[in-house]
Amino acid sequence: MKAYLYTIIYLTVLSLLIGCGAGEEDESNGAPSNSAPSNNGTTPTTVPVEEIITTGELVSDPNFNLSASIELTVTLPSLPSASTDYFINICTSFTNENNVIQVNYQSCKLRTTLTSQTQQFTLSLSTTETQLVAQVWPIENGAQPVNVFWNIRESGDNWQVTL
Amino acid sequence: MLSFTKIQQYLFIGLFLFQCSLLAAPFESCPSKAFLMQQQVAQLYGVNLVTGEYNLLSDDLGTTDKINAVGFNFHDNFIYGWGYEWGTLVQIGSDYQATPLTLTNNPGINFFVGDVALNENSYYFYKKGASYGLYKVSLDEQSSDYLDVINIIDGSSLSLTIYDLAFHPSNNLAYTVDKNGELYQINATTGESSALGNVGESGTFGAVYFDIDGNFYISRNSDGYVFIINLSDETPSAQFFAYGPSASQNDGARCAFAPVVDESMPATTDYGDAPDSYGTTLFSNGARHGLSDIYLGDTITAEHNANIYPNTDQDDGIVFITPLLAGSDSLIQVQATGAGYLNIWGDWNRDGEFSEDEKLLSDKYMSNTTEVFLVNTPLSALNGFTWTRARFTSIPAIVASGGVADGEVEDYRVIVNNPGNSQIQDTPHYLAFEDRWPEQGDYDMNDVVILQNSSLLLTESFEVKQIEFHGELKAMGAAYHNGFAIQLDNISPSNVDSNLVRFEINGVLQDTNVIEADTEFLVIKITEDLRDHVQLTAECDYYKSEQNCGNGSQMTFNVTVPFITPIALANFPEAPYNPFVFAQDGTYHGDLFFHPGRGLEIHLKNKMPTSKADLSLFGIADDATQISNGYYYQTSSGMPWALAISAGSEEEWKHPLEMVDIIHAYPDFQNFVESNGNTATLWFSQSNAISSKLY
Repeated sequence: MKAYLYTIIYLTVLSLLIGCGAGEEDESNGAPSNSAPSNNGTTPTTVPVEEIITTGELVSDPNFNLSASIELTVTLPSLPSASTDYFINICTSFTNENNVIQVNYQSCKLRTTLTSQTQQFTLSLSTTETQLVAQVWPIENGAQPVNVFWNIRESGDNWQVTL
Repeated sequence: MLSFTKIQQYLFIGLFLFQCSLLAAPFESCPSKAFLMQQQVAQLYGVNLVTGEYNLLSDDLGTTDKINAVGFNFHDNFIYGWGYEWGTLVQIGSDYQATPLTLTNNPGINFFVGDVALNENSYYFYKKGASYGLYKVSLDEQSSDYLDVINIIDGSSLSLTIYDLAFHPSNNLAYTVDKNGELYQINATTGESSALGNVGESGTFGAVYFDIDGNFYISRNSDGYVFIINLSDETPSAQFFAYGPSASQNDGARCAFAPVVDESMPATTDYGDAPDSYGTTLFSNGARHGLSDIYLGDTITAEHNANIYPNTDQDDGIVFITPLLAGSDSLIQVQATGAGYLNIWGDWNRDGEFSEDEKLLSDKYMSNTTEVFLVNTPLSALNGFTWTRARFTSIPAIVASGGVADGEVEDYRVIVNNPGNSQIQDTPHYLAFEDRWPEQGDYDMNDVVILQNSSLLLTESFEVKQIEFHGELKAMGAAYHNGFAIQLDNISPSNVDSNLVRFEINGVLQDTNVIEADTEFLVIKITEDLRDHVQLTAECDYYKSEQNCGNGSQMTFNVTVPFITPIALANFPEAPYNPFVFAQDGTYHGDLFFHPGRGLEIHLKNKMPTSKADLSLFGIADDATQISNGYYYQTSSGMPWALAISAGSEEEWKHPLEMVDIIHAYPDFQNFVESNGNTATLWFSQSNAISSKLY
């Protein structure tokens, strides 16, 4: 690995030196400043040489655990009606086509019943999960849900679900 | 010049020869479908024994009467049977036209029991009664006794009330079941018979068949039920197999050398995908349906045999809007295409089977609709993940396994909670390990890659009563033998309700104790050696880390750990918890030590080792662990041996190819590391990767 690194550094320094040495060339002629004469008369191309490092060369704060997430505090509403039970799913994967919401229930972060009191939960989200749907269902035949949405840009990391 | 009369003569002769050639055409092959002869004027049906699905092959066999006692002749690929119109043997070819054959010594009566032998080109037929009995007639045109009827035994010596018989494909004995359910074995050469016991089903079994594996199928006239009998059982019994066609008059024929599934033809059967303990594959007499315009959701798939979890089908008919709430109502949404009856079973006691009374819905009639139903789960249903099976078909009152001619089966893994409980599902984490610790690895981060899902079940008081893990081995680019486990830091193993712990590998319940013994904190040990769970091909040293090494085997795990005393959520560790790999005992794990075994653990950065870790290994080679500062499993520059990547529910994280440094596959990883996670927080996204460097 070290030999590889030395080669890269050597090539980088060499290219800089060549570049410096060619500074007297007239740039208006379009020729690359670090070009060398070519035997066949074609114009050689410049190969940019970047310094490629490896993960082993990175330095990380010893306290940084190399993870990233979003902590979202969700406050659920109390039961809207004492005569019917309600269930709430908070999920990350859903589609909205012509106001028809299709939820992938495999993606639900929180599934619980509403109670007479508000409830508060903290959900840990991936940094890719920037929007959620809260789908509230009355537990009854032929039920229709109420959908409430969250996205991080508008609502931040605190979401009060209201019906 | 030919005269008109001559032309007429030639045309007539040509037509005659042409017709003869058509009449003489046998079937092209030994078909997997069975033949079923029905009705007072013979009609021939093809029956798929797998599902009971049947279709009319011909309603005009060139006769005005019944044809019975049919058998498929493997030697010439014709069907033979007894034609009542002519009172003699008939031959039926691929044009489904019966041709009477003149027999010498014809007994002069009609027969409804018969089949063609497999070890000789002869037709056997039987009628009860002292004046009749078991007969044989040679179908071999080269034989001196061709079409000469020989009486094997008289009908008083072999006196059976039977309606069909069939020859076994390997032992050359004939088998039959009488109206009382008695199974008989007949030596056709001698006419001797022996009773093998009662199979537990009675009735007129007018059509019986064998398949190439020696499975014996009997079809009951009154209800069309097809039963399967395993003759190698000590006490053979009839197990329900499929819902077939019923008729007052039935006779069956089948090429016994054909398997019941013809894999050279496109699949026409839909199966479930639950673990096979639920009855899923054909071998287990699994739930299966013939393709039709009746199904759940928008689509239906067809397979030659079932995919078994963790291989799954695309199911789209049922949505479990809420978890199933034990002792309470829950909501499901069902989309039905076509008209039929919906039945749903649930494994409430999680014994790996659906019993008859474990039902969620029974015979709910639906017709081209999508509905939300209220369903009730029994109070006794155990908390945690279990399996449900939905079957939608035009036939009511079906059971959870066996074949049906139409409809669809969909199996779902669902969670059962108690009312008032909450389920928190953690974000999935991809756990990527380098296993050369304490030496720095090549950072391709694919020595072990596991997708870990977890969820918590909370009481009404926000206490954790149960945790579930569901994981999958995604890659193993390691030469070392590594085990995999998860520690729940600061959780006592003595608080685990060990009687209710459930551990599955690939959906199969495991006998091993998943809770590691003698640890300070709870350790869930999934496996001692991940290599035990994948089959490496000869060309591939690793599992899913090299191009063209997309191994077909799979390893998934499910663990349910309930707690005796629920634990306050605030005191419970957070996902991804503390997963780690460890060296298998007695195996090589680098040159720094000899067979370090279980004491060599590799955790995520700054995750504590278990009480079984060998602390003397810290500080060796590139490891710069400082226990006093809480710095674990990091190099002197703070780099780890393991990453937990939270890619979200929808995004799949793809690991680098073998020997590809993660920073070269995911260039933004550098900014993420060097900014302490303040920038490039989507470094792991496919859109930020160099796809050519990913597996």
